[in-house]
Order: sequence, then C-alpha cells, then structure tokens
Amino acid sequence: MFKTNKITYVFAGLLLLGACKKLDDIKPEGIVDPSIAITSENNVREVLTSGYLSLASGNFYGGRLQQIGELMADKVDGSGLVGYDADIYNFRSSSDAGTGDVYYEPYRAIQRANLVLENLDKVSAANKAKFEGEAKFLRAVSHFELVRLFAQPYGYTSGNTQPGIVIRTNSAFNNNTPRGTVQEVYNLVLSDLNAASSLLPAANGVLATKWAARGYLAKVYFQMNKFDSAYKYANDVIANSGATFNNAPAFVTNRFAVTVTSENVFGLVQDAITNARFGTLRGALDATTVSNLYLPLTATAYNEGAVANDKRSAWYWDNSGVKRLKKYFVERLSLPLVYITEMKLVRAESAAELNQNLATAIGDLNDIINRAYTVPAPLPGGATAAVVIAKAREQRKLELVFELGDRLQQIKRIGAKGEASLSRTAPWNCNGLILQFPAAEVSVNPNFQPNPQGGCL
Amino acid sequence: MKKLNVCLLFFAMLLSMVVTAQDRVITGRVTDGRDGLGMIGVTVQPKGVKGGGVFTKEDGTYSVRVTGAVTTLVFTSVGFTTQEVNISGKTSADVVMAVAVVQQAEAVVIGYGSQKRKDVTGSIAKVEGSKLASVPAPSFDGALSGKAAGVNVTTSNGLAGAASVIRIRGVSSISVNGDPLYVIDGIPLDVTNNKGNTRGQLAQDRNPLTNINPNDIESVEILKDASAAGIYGSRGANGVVLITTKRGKGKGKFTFNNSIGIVTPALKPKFADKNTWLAIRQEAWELDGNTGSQQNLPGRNGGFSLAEALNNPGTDWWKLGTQTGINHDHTLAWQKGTTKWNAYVGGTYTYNESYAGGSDNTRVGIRGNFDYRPNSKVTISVNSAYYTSRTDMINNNWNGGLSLSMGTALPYYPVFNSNGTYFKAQGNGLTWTFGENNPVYQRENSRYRNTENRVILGGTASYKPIKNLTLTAAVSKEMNNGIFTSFRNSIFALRTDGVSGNGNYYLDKYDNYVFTGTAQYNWNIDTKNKITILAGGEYQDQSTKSKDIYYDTLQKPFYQDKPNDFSNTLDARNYSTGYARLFKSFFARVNYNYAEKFLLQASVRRDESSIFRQNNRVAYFPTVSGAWVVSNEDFMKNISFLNYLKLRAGWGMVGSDKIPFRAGYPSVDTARGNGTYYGGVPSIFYKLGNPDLKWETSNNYDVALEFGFLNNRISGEVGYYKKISSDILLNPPFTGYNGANSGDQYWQNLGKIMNEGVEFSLNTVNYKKNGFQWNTSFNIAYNYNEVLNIGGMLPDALGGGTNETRIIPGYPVGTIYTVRYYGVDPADGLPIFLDKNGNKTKTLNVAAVNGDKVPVANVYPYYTGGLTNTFKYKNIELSTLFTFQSGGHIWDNSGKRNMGYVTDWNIYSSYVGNYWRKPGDQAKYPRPTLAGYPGVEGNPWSNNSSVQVYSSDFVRLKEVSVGYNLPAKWVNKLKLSTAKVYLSGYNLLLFTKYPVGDPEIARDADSEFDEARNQSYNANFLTLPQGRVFNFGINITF
Repeated sequence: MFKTNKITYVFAGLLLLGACKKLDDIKPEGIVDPSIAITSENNVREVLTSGYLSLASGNFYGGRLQQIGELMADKVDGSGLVGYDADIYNFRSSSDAGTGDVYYEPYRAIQRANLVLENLDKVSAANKAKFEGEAKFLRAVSHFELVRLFAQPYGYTSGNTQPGIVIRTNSAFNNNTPRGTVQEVYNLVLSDLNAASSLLPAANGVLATKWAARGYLAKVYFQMNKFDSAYKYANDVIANSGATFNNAPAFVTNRFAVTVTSENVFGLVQDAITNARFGTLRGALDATTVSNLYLPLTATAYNEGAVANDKRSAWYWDNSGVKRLKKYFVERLSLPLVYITEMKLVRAESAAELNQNLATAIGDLNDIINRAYTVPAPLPGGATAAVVIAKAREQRKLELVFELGDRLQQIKRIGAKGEASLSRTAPWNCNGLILQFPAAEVSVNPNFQPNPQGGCL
Repeated sequence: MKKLNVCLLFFAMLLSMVVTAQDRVITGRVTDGRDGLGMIGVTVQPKGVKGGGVFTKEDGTYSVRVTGAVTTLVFTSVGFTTQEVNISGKTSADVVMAVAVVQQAEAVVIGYGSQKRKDVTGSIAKVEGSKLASVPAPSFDGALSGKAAGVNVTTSNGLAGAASVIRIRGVSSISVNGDPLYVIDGIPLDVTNNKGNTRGQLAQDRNPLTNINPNDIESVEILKDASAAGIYGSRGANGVVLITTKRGKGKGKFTFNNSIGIVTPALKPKFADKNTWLAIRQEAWELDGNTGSQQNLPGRNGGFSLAEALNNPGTDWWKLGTQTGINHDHTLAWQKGTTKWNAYVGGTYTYNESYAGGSDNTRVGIRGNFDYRPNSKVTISVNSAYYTSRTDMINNNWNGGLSLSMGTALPYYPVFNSNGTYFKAQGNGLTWTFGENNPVYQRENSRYRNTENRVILGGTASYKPIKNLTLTAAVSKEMNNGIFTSFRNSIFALRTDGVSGNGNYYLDKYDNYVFTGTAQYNWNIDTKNKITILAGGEYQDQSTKSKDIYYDTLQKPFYQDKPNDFSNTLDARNYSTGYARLFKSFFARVNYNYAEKFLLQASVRRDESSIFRQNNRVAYFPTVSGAWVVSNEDFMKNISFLNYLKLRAGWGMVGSDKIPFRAGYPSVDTARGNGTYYGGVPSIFYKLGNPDLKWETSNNYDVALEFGFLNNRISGEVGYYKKISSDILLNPPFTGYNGANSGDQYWQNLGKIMNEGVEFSLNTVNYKKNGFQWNTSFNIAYNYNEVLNIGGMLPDALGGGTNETRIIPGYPVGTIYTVRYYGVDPADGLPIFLDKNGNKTKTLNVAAVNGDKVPVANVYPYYTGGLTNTFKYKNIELSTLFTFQSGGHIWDNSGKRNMGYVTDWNIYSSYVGNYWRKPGDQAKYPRPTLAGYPGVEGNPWSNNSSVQVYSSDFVRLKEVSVGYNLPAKWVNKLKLSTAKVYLSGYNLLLFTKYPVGDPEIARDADSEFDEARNQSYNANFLTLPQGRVFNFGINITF
C-alpha cells in the first residue's frame, strides 16, 4: 500500500519544477525604465544628443522641412506630382498623410529636450547651464519651425490669437492639450532662446552656442517683423560671434561642405562616421541624385537665377528642358542653420525697414553682390530704404534658394507686414498655405482644433 | 510561493453499501443506451422502502434483495433518465439507461470543481465531447459552432488548422483580442501568447487549439457570465472555455475510430471569366471616350493587345490552386475503471488537407489520464499528453496565394511564359504585387511549415482527512516547442546563381507551470441547510521565448536539410522573452442550498499578476448569484406538466488582463541607441509606456429561467444579460506632440462598452414511439453591443487597419464608417454619393477630417444560433445542424478593386450585368472605367464607400451525420462490443445573399494584438471560403 509520505515526496518534487519567483522579476527584456536609465550626466548627454539627431533627421532640417516649404512656395513646378505631395503643392494638404513626418520629428526633439530639462539634477554644476541652454535651444527651434508650418503667421491677427501648435514644456504623455495661440508659441520660443543665449557658452564644439541662440533670435524677430530686435541680434552675431563673411570664390560650392566655412555660426554637421546624413535633403531637392523628375523649377525661377553674370547660376541646371536646382549636389554635406550671409540679409532689410543704419545695410548687400556677380552692380551709397529693401529681398531670394523653406516664410512675413504677397496665385494668409495636422491629432485629441481646409485657389 | 501551503492531501470515494437481508433477490444488468456497455454505479433502489438500494458493478450487473411488497425498482444515475421497472413476479430485470434529455442532474464542470446542473447559479453551456469528435472542422474550436446560445464561433477560412474566432456574449474588448480563456483539465492555456506569430512571413495564422485531439475531449463547458467565470478573476471577462479530457470508466474497452473523407470548397467565389473581363475592359475603354481596340492591357511592359489577350488560352487560377483534399483520422483509445483505479489512454493520427493546395495539417498525439485510489481517503491523478502537430501553410488571404485568383491573377494571364519561365505580371503602379500575381509561382517556390510539440504533465492529489473535507493539490507543467519555418527557393528569391534561396527559422518556446491548491468543505448543517465552501490558491508561471534565424543562402527548407552551421548559429542566439507572466491568486466560493429551493453563491478572486505594474498589481473580483428552484416548492407539486422551473440571477465582476508585455514600461530603447551625433556622442531614445495600465473590468448582470415540461420532453432556458465593460484597453494612435518614435505604442485604459442580450435554448423530444425518436435542440442569441465612451476621440482615431471599421460612441464595436453610396446617375453612369448632410454629390470625400464619412452598419451579427435535429430509429441515427446569423454586415475591403474601376484585378460576377452601359440605364453599379470617376480620387485603394457593405446573414447546413450501429449479433460474432459506421458532412449547404463568396468571414490576425480581431471581424480581404467535407467512418469498441 502506498504511504502518504511517499506521495508527499512525489508532489514536492513536482512542485520544485516551478522555481519560486517574485512578481517584480518578470519584466520585459531590453527595457530600461527611464527613471533608471537616465541616472548620470552621460545619460542626459545621450538624450540631448538624440535631440540633435531629430533636428538633423530627414523628417526635419534634414530634408522634409525644405521640401514642404518649396512645395507651397512659388519656385517649383509641381504639376507632375501625384499623391500627397501634389495635395500640398495644390494648397490642399491632407490630414491622412504627407504632413506627419515634419510634424512628429520636431516634437521628438522637444520631447528629448524636455527629458533633459527634467533630469538636470543629474548633471554636474559645470555642465548644468550648458545642458539647459542646449535643451532650450532645441525646444525653441522646434516650436518655431512647427508654428510656421502649421499655423497662420505671426501678424495674421493683431493679437496673434490664431491657433498655433501644442506647446510642450514637459515630457508627460497626454492626449488632450489644446493648441496654444501663435502669440503663446512665440512667447515660449523667445523665452527659451533668451535663456539659451545667456546659459550657453560662446564656443561649444559643433553644438549650440549663445551665438546660435542669438542667430535664431534674429531670425524669429525678423519673422515677427520686429526689426529693431532682429537688427540688434543679427548685428550682434555678425560683430561678435567670430564667424566671418566667406568671400572665397568657392562660396558657391562650399556653403554645404562637410568642413564648415568661416561663415558658420551654427549648423548641423556631417557625422564623422556616418555619411548618410542629409540623404533626404539631397534626395528631395537635389535633382541630380534622383532619376525621376522631382521638384523641377518653374521657368521664372530658373530664369531669375540662371543668369550668366551671376556665379550662383552654377546651382541651376537645364536638363534637356527640365529646369532643376543642384545646390545640394555634394556627396556629403553639412547644413548651416545660422551663418553670416543670412544674418547680413536680416540686418540689411531690418535696417532699411527701420530706416536706420542704411550704410551698414548697403554694405551688407554689397558684400553679397560683389561676391555673387562676375560684373557686380553694387548699390550706390545713397540708396533709399525702399531700394535697399527691394535689393535685400531680391538677393535673399537668390542666396537662400531652396534653403530651410525660407521662400515660403518670406511670402508670409511680407504679407503679415501688410504688403500684397502671393505664393503663385495664393494669398499669403489663405488656409491652404498652412499644413493640415496629421489625422490622429484631430481624431484622438478632443480639444484639438483642426486647420480649415483649402481656400487658396 | 513560499507562503502557499503545500498540503498534499488525499481522499477516496469508496462507496460503502449496506444490503439488508430480505425476501428475494433480483439480478440483472444495466447498460448504457449509447454504447451498450455495462454501467457502473447506477443506483438500484426498491421503490417505497427506505434503504435497501445497491449500486451496479463494473460490468453493470447488480443483485438486490427486495421484500415481497416491492413491485418496482428505480434505476438512477447522474445524467441519465431515471427508469422504473416493474419486477412483479420476476427475478431479473435488465435495463438500458438513456441519457437524460434535460440534464438537470448532469454533472457540470465549473471552475475548480463540478456541480450538478440543478445547483448551478451561473450561466454555463455544456457541449459533450461526442458532439465534437466526429465533426470534421479544421480544429475542434470550429466544431463548437451553433451548439451553445451566445457562443458565436466563426471559422476564419478553409485552410487546414484554421483558427476560429470565438466571442461569448458579444465583444467587449477593442485593442486586445476578445478570445475567451481556455482551461484544459485545470491548466489555463493562453491562446493569445502561446501562439508564436509568423512574424510577417506572409503565411496564415497559427492556432494552438489545433493540437488538441477532439476524441480525447469528454466535455467542453463554456462559462458565460460572471457568476460562472468570476472564479477566474482578471481573465474571465471574455468568458471561459473549460475543456475536460476523458477518464477511464467501466469495463476495460478499446475504442477504435477511423474516418476518411474528402474536402472541397464550400463554394467557388464568383468572378468574371476571361472573355467577360476583357469585354468589360473594352467597354470601359470606349465609355472613357476612346475608340478602337485596346493595345495596353495590364500584365507586362508594353501591355497585351486585346486580340492577343483574347487569343491566350488563359488560366483558371482557382482550379490550379485547389484540389480535392483528403482527410483521415485514426484514434485508438483504451479505458477502464475499477473501484481502485481508472485509466484512459488515447492515441491519434490525423491528417487533414485543405481544398487549397499546399495546406495540410498532421497531428500525432497520445494522452494518458490515470487515477489511483490507494485507500478511502486518497486519490492520485495524472494527466499527461504529448501532441505533435505539423501544419503546411500557404499564404494568408491578404498575401496572395490562392487568393490571388480573386485578386490580380487575371484570367488571360498564362502560368508560364513561352520560354518556360514563370509569368510575372508587371505592376502598373496601382497593383498589388504579392507573389508577382502568379499564385502557382508563389506556391511552387515558397514553403511555410509550422510544427508544434506540446507536452502536458499534470498531477493531482486529493485527500479527505475528515468527512466532507477534501483537500486537493494539483501541479502541472506544459511545454510547447513551436517551430515555424519559411523558405523561398532560388527562383522566388530571384537569385542569379539559380541554387540558393533563403529562409527563416523561428523557434518559440512556451512554458506554463501551474500549481493549484484547494480545500472544499461540505457542511450539511441539517437536512435543509447545506453549505459548500471552497478556498484555494493558484500560482502560475508562464513565459514564451523565441529565437529567430534568417539564412540568406539555403538550398532546401530547414525541415528537409539544415545548413551545416545551423545548430551553431541557432545556439549562438539568445532567446528573447516574448511574454512572461507570474500569477499568484487566492479565491474562495461559498454555496448555500436551502432545501433544494434556494441556492446562493458568492465568490471572490484576488489576482496578483506581474503583467500589471506595482500600482495595480492586485485586483479583486467578486460575484454573487442566487437561484430559486420554483418547482421544488410545495405549491408547485400539483402542477404535473411542469417538472422543473428555476429562476436565477447573478452579478459579478470579471476582468481581461491582455495587456501587451511591454506596454506598462516607459523605457529607453537601447536597440536604437546606436545613433551618434558628431564625434561619436551616443544617443538614447525614449519610448512611451504607461505604468498605470490595468485590467479591463466587466460588470455582469445575468437573469435566467430554466424550465422542463411534460416529463422534461420540453426543456430549456431563457436568459437576459448585461455587461458593462470599462477601462477598456486601447492602443490609439497618439497625438504626435508626445514626441514618440515611430512604432511606439501608448496603451491606455479608456472607454466603456455595453453588451446586452437575450439567449434562448430549447430541447425537445418531438416524437418517441415504436423505436423512433426525434429530438430537437434549438438555440438563438441576440446581442446588442454599444460603445459608450472612448474618451472623446473621433471615429477615425481607432482605425481598423486598412478597413473602414471604427469604434464610435453610440454604435457597436466595429461600426463601418464610410461615405454612403447612393446609386448611379442614369445620365452618365457615374456614382452618386451622399455627403455628410445627406445631399447627393459626385465627389467622394473620404478624408478623416472634414470628410463625408458617417456610421453606416455594424459588423457583428445581432442574432446567432443553431438548430440540431436528431432522428433515431432503432440502430440508425441521423443528425443535422443548421447554424445561422443575422443582422451583421461584411465590409468587403478588397471588393472595391473588383468592381467598375477596371485596373488589373478580377471583376465580381455580381458586377457583370448590373452596371450602367448607356444613358437612361437604371443600374446598380456605375459604368466601367479605366481612368477613374471624376470626383473620385485616383487611387482605387481610397475609394471606400458603402457599396462595399453587404449583409452577412446566412443559414448554413453545418453538420449532417448518419450513423448505423451494427446489430449486436453481428458484432458479437466479430468479438466486438459495438460497431458503428457513419457518414458525416460539414458545410454542406449555404443560404445567403452575399453575392461574392462565403459570408462566414473572420479576419485573420497577423499580430496577436491586432485590433482587427475585434473591430474588423467581418472585414473581407479575398477570404477563402470554408471547406466542405464528406467523411466516412467506422467506430468499434472491443
């Protein structure tokens, strides 16, 4: 007869098959909780680095931002486009697709910046100000670019109460934040840039510096048509940043060279290891790298730039009747975001708008003109403010062609200033000149106000 | 774990009996009417006296002493109709026991125990294993179809081993699947996380239930409401399916079942033939304003000319891809039961082919269940099983395969080019290019095989230290090795060397350890007041691990020839944990019975699960239910036509814990941490996660009336239930400003869903005379489902993958949200739609924001049910099962490509003859076009409208079987106990208005958390019809 004892042993043995575990032991592999992962200054640095990667991503400054800017501006002929990019070109962007990448990526940079700001307690005193400044710089730049693409421009209403974008100043997840007004977004951008300007050192390797922040302050104020501040910061950068106007004959080809030129105040650099960065930019805008006809120039835009006397005509290419731009025709490139040529254009136009310091303005423009033309026709010393403004806008159009979606933003800025301003046939303030938000923003967030559709044509 | 009391305790169920010496002795034998075998344990009671009853022995014989005054013996056995036999002047009486029609006395398996049907206070449907074993469904789960009210079973397609989607009392989950919890002999089988998906390898879904041999199943109990399922706590919200395997009983016997059959498609999908297709395209060409015959038909660069296409012999792709499949099943089982021990051993070999060439399933398995009672207090049981199942898979519907014959394999395409190479249709930018639009090419040059090896080893010990107290400890270990391999040969992999192909090898390990300890005390306070108390604990440790290998140079599939470095390569890989969960639970249940009139049950389960994070780790799930057995009241005694009447009601809370493993963890993604910025500064990426996730909670109410009339010839149940499920697990696309990386998910407990319904089941003995008997079982369930809240999200927030099925407050889960199709303009043949405000428009605006989409129809049927009729005449039995559903709709997602916008897709027969051809035509469908309709966006994938909505109503003759029990005298000559031959058919007839194919559609899930399982349940994408099976079988016992 079986003894109860023996049975007990058998079952005790079976029981041992299951090791005793604690519930806390069971968690996914390869997962590190951020509260555990971001524990050191190094970790914070790593998160900060991922913020720069967002800026350099093909979805953002790495290409899509420029591409979308040109699609809505007046230089390209998009009649051959199909799909969502055709919708953007026709001022009817779709919430279904096409606008997502350029929306998500800046918010990734913002999220990473906010994580840095929330973990500054792990950073040594020596680096704390620098980290904070870099994070705020990334956050400001990202908000600035987003609000310019997804909201009516500064100056659209007198109080800038038109809906802007969702303002993010912490990393907590939520699905119910409403859009801030454009004024509120610019308030954050300015306060972050001001903070960055005072927190950041003058030199910081290839990373953001106080001059980067001040360069962006010049750009932001210029976009706001606040010319005194724009002048002040552009002037400060030109005078004090240490970067110098690049007068070399090679300026046409080396603006995007891997080795940055003397002009650069701040830019996104080519990685020493990876050579794939900015592939999207080249793929999207450099017609020579793709076989299909992508974003050819209109005849007008081509004829404006491809002038024999203008050295910058080297950027233009007539490929059997199809007009293209090959500004980004370099195998590897770095991408300047703040550099002296643009600062001079900002300073010149701001000065003329203020009708002050016209000599400086004329000097700036003549620097550019003398550099650009084989037989230059500089402005006379006594040029009027109006002439200076016109010349500044003309040169801006030529210098910054296909750069950072600048053309679209100038159309809007000039319109917001009160002048007649069109992109092709579309008035500067029509609905189709701002992008539709990705559908999820509207459908998931009950407090999110969608952009109205169309109305430009 | 340490805290668990490991008391290993035993009991015995030896029944002692006292026989009082009296006047005379009656002897006889009691046999089971179903198989003619002797029945053990039947109570033989002289009528009109106290005591003096006996039990039958193993061989069914008995011997009872009766006084002279006794004229009648009463034979009773649980689950059988009580028989009274007149013994006046007799010394012997043989009795054949018949299974009770109304099974108020039958034993019902419940969570952690069993009850008599009459004592149950919750909603439990029972399906006998014998009703499943002979059904040639792709997997036993499909055989549950139509057999229980409120249990909606939809077999996903006609492929071998295809899974069924089972929804009990509607659907209450959104982003996680609504599958019930399966428990096999007390071991919870996690179907969701046990599956090991095919990881985008384009093959059909894997189904762990295919492993189970239906011949081993004694019964399946479906716990439908919270009173029944509440004891499973955080896993009970979608209902619980308890599968109980057979245990030995009676005299030793072998059962040998053999069947062989053929499989064909239940129907052939109807598409335009070659000439019709070409004629419609020519007509489209002309209606678009062109003249002459077309020179640019799709299929190759430069196009086919119409003349050439007409001249091509063409291909019947459907015919090439289908076959008459062969099924065979051989099961040998032995069982025996004595007072000391019982044993069941069953072995099976099954081979099932689908009608779709290349799809088959082979299963070999053995099960051994043993019970041993060394003394009156102890029982030791062992449950063990080994199954190996091999499924040769073909491509899932949406990945080409045979489905291409309904998609882009056009009837004028050849299989081969004139030079002998495979014909591959060139895309035109709008095409769908899986398998190069040549299903023969795809099938002949790629292989998918899934092999599962499952071992189950369980032991139970029961100990009865004192009267009425039973202590039980059960441990079990279940292991499964799933190996999925894919192979593409050099032709399919487009290799220039012409030799090597490539392939993937996925190894999935599933490991499940369960310990359960329970104590049950039956406290009989007095003759009227009885209390049963159950308390227990459970520990479950479950995990899945996987290894993947990809070989870029592979000559043959892995299962034929492994590369030399195969083991090294595989061993070098670390397992990655797919899912792991540790459960510690305590539960208790009290049943109170007052005079068999009032029943009360209360239960609570405390679950502590690692799948929840600290804040929500512990959950309590209470239930309360009661019943009033009206028929046991004295005032009912005189109502003779009424045998049984019970009113029951219950409330309870249950949960669903199907939280994805990683969803609770905000994290940094180390896998992406390789990105660097200038100077090699590394980066890390943040991933979203929600540490506050918890289970879905379902609040259930259930009331029902059970009845039996006219000697229980009419019996049944009518019930009403309401379930409010809240904290629904949702995985919405989140707002971009949260800064997530692409592919990140953020799960939330958001939303509320209501299910409300009525269930009715009726069993009748319609006729019983002269050896002829006709029984009917009918069940119908109505379920109304409504999303109450999804946190303010708009309809398009929760998309159904590529489908237009949505989650919209005020509407059922999976409401089709699309633009309304109005009809055709007789003047120009263009489609007319209705805009958001109901005004006619020829512009189709499908935009998510500011579009014209509105809720149009529900996908889940409102009514489902089944009708079984059994006719018996002497040794012959005929049984039929009709299943039906009504009120649901099909979203025909691929169908938009099969209509008038002629591209390179096949065209529905239902379009032919119903389209506009000339001004003035009143047509159902718009004119054919090649250029697209003005106002309708050019991309045909976006052209969604309600023209793609069909009713999914159908009535189906699901099962027919005819059996003949050979007469005993023949059988005995062969030294057999019984012998039966039978013919059975499956999916024989279909009545539906769905013009395209088979309306029984369940979208396969290619990911275990695919919302499509709930939301896009009836979304068609080139779904293959069900299989039709004819089987012939012989079943003998000896």
